[in-house]
Amino acid sequence: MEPLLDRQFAALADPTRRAILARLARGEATVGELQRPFGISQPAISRHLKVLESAGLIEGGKAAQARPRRLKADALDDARGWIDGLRTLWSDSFDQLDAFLKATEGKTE
Amino acid sequence: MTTPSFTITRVFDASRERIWAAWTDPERLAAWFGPKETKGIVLEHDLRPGGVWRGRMDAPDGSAMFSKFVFEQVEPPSRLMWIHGFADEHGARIRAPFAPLFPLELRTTVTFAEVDGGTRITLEWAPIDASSEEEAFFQSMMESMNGGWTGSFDQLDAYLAETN
Repeated sequence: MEPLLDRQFAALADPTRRAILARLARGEATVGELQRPFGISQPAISRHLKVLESAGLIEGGKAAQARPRRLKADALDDARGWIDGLRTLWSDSFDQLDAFLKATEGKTE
Repeated sequence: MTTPSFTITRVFDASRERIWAAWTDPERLAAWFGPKETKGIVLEHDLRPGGVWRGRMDAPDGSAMFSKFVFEQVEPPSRLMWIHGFADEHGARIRAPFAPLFPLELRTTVTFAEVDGGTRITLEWAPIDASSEEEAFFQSMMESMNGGWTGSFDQLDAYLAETN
């Protein structure tokens, strides 16, 4: 099986699944409750949930459709730390370059 | 499919010459380059086409990551281009330590333009020879850079704070 982080990134790459996570971040929900706002079929929602479960991002029953799904509390820590590092590499660097240029202004180059 | 790319641009209140020095002098570069809260160390710096830049970044948790860049164009004071990627401690190219689907190499193009108020820096990141899967992954991460995931993460933060 692929490493967990790969599965997490693959799971997060899909906008519907990110929206499902955002919905679950507000509280647990059943397949039926998730289906309505997204306007896609129950099997489609179930497939997305399966991917999220396999990535360790949510938990809930495998068989029982009615059992509410919820976010796992520490699910995204590793993936998130790594994403943030790359995501902010250039914005952080640009902030620091700006500070560096201000700090060295007027000094002999 | 068009190759996805990431672009960031900002105007700095400094001359092109100072900016060029900040990007090309190893000591100055180490003073600002890298994610916040990491300490950058330049291991190798050979500023010419085909030359190699290697650096190490130390995170607060004690872990280290190595990068290797290979310069393609060096045109003072207006343009720098290099191949960007992760490396092991000896400088051999490796995949991103935590995400094998991240493209192995990215072409980085940086331009320095004189504008009102200083110098405009434009930086573009584009995957090199990436598979469609890697391009999709990169695209998804770029969306996250542009804030596409921010909302979800903010909500996650709120959720995690509540459940702690």
